[in-house]
Amino acid sequence: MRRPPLILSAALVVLAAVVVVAIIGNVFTPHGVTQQNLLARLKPPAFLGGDPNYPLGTDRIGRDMVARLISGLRMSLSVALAGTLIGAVVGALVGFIAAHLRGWAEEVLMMLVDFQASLPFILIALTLLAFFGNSMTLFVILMGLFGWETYARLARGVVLSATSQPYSKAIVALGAGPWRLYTRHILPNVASALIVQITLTFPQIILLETSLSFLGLGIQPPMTSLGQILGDGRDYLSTAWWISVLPGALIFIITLSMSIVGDWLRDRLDPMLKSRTS
Amino acid sequence: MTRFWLVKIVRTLLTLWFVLTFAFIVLRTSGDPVVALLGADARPDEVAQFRSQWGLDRPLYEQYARYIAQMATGQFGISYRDGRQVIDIIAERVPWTLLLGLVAYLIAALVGIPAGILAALKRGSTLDRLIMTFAVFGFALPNFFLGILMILLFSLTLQWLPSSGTGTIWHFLMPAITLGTFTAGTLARFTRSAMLEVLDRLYMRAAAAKGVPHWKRILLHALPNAAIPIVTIIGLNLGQLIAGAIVVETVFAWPGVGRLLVTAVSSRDLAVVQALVLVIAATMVVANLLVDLLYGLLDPRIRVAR
Repeated sequence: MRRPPLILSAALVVLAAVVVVAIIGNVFTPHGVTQQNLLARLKPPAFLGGDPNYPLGTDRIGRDMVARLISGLRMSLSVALAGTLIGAVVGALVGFIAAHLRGWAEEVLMMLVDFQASLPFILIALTLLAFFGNSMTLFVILMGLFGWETYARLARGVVLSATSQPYSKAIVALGAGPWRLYTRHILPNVASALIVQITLTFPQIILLETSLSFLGLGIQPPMTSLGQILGDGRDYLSTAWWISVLPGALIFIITLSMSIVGDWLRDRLDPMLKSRTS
Repeated sequence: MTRFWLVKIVRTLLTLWFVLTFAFIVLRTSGDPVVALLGADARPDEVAQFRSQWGLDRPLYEQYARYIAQMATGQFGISYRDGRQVIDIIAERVPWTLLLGLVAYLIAALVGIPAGILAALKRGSTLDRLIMTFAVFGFALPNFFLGILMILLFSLTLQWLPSSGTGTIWHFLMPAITLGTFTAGTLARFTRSAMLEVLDRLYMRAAAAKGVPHWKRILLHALPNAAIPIVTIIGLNLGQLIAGAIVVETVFAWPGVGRLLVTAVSSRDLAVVQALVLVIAATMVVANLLVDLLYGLLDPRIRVAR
């Protein structure tokens, strides 16, 4: 499906803006993230007649929503980024190893892949959080565990087809070892497929993180994430809807833009992948 | 033919065994299982009784075998929060989730499949683009956010619908729509591409040449041939639906399995968590088996080929 490039550029502009705000946004906010002002609780955003000192209003203990949103955005993006990278590296490595070793090792690794694919990941995440207790380390590892099986499957498939190509046979015949073969010759061939997969996985990890944080089982206070702010605001829906709606809208804009970019990349870079998935 | 079913069933059992082993490993690596299942303030005689009852004084491989046998027969232990049998707690929640899931699936299918067919028939038109835009929205929109927006609009502002709980048929509406939106978006997308694939096949042209009316060609000639990918997506989406139910049931205070899981995780009621994971996993694995079997029925080529 071809998407008008206008939507694509809009999505890219939005993503760039979001990243810039996440990185340097807090320099410009007059209020600290945790700075409370009990006299200015549940103030509506300035454009709805609130206090001009708090452009997007305040939450239940008078914390500035702008500062909270930027800090939550930064947390959500970094956790998702870390998770995506861990997942991609681990998954691709497993796929490479499976394709290289073949035989029973491949069978075992692919069975693990099937196992993870057979369960909704949030279930695995909740189990591990329940049994091991919530910690930041475990949480980031969980985000990394998400989606590794897609990379593994992808990498294995591409490697298997690449190693049967004449060029890799020629390289091996010329005396290249497996390390050189994989890093110099096969990785560049897998790269575009992996990048497409990364752009498709990233919004899913954002959704996973924000869902868990929304349920109160992810990022814990005093740290904050977009999902957690949203969950916090649920109790104040009737009096202060902006506490929930603003982070929700932000999450939606990010995942939507990322999906648009990912879909476009998939159609553009990888016609092979397209015919395989749709 | 028999081989096809047999391989499928063996794989299903294998996956179930994997899930059980996963639960066993998690249980044994996360601390003392007695503390985990009975709670830290259990009485010593309770602990001793529990140890011998669950065979925790036996060697590890024997414990493992016993564990598998007990889990497979539904002996999940006792919830430390209210002291009731875990299996009973789950049993009273399951119907609510099933009901919600079915309604959500129904809404998703009734919206998603016709939308996909329409988009494929009017390929490239404004209608097509509109439907596909909604489909992308449908799965980029986080369900907890959609739920909150609906509560804000229909419960708090317009005061048309109840915001949480159960009781009337109206209580179903918002949770089911929230839960079904993602599936509807996915279905619309896949139905569209599946239909596009078959619409310009030769048998479609033959049917047109024979004088079969347009709607009959679409419904009786194209749709059955596009059914395989659509059924696959419905099957694959069960996991999404369960994941969605965990969040949606919490948003709308729906007394189902998903909300039970969230409360059990946050209070670390481990016996309940473990049992729920096993029950949900078993459901999914069996559902996947059913989808596989359904393929064979839908398309004779598949059962012969494998």
